[in-house]
Amino acid sequence: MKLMGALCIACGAVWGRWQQLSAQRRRRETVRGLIAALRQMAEEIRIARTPMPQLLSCLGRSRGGEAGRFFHAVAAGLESGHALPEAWRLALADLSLPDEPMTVLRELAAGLSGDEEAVYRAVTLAADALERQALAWERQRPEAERRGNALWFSASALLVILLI
Amino acid sequence: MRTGKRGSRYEAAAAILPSRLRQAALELPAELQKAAEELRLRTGGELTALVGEEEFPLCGDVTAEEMETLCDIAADFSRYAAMETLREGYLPVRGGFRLGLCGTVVMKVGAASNLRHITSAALRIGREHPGVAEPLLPRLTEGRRFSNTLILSPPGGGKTTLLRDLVRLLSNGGWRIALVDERGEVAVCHQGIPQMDVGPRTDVLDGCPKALGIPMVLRAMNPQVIAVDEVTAREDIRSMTMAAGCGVGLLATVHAGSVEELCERPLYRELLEHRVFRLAVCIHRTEGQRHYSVEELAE
Repeated sequence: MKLMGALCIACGAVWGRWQQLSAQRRRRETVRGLIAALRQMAEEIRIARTPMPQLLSCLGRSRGGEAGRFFHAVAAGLESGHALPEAWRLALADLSLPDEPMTVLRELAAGLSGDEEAVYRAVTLAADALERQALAWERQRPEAERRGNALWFSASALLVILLI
Repeated sequence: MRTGKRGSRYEAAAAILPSRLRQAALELPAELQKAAEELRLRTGGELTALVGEEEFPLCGDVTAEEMETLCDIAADFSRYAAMETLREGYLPVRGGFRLGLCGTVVMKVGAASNLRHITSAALRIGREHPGVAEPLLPRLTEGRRFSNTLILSPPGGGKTTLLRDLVRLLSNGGWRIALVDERGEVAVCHQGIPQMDVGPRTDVLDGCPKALGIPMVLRAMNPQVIAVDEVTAREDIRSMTMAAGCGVGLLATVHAGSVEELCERPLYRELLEHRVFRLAVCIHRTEGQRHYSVEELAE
């Protein structure tokens, strides 16, 4: 019975850790998707001058995952009559990201108006800021993962010891 | 739009304004809404509705931010995509409106490259008046021959409205019309579909400069009549002169108060000297009503 309980705790710990790692991977993928989308957005504004409604719809279609859903929601908000900053902020509410990238994206909402120079600069700066954030996460990742693994292993081991 | 309801056109125009100004614009009495031709805004000044020759104040203290928001809404938050027209001082707005703008012009290599710090805006409420050209049509056609015609009036006189109705009537009458709609104000195409009724046999070349568009439709669409709005450049006149020599009918609008005023302008001398146009429809305004007269253009 005790062995069974210990096994359950070990499985739970593995499952919990796996969930946590998946969430982190999804977060990294979302930020990578957003960076790529913002870079494409800046390029389309500067080179093709694609109007914003078409550009957002295209990003919504071409990008997968949460980033794609975000741009799709912004395009839908714009279509339903919201101003772009408002549609952007509303779509942000459904995005699950840590505070730093959310702040960058919230600030970008205000920068999406004005002439080509202003919009291009705002989008590029936001993409750069997200890229810096993603790089910082990548640098911290091995250490954070080791620490996380150790923490989950120690906690489950402690529970098993207490149980036995 | 095809609703034909004048009040609803005003509401559609008001919807382009930022929310505080929109509320104020919608407080204009219904009768004045029906007759309003423009909504005018000045930074630090008032929002007014132009009805006939009179401006009715709607609210004060229009802020620079509201002007910027208006530009963003008008350009679908894509001012960079509307730069070609913005540098010429206007933005074509979805639904067939036009936003005329004044501000600080940014010059680059001797030409306007941008317009910043908007000081004034005039939102023109384009409307359909089906049937307004009906009494004129018999004067402009002889059997299956169309007399090349210029529509003359000062700005805001109703040239585009008359042109649109003439195109619609000719098209309904079986003529193949090619409409070169450079500013998108005549057919008001949205995703390739004209939002205004320009008739079943009208081929619309949207957003194309007239000087380029006239030879294009001539080669590609085999039109019987080519219609264009607001001839203002020498290149447009050259293209029309060339098209007239190809046996196609021409219908165009020009800013001029009268035939005499037109004759005085050197730009149009070429058209008159070559007898490209035979007739002129002059639009006069008396006591708020528009009157139309057809005049022969002398050599």
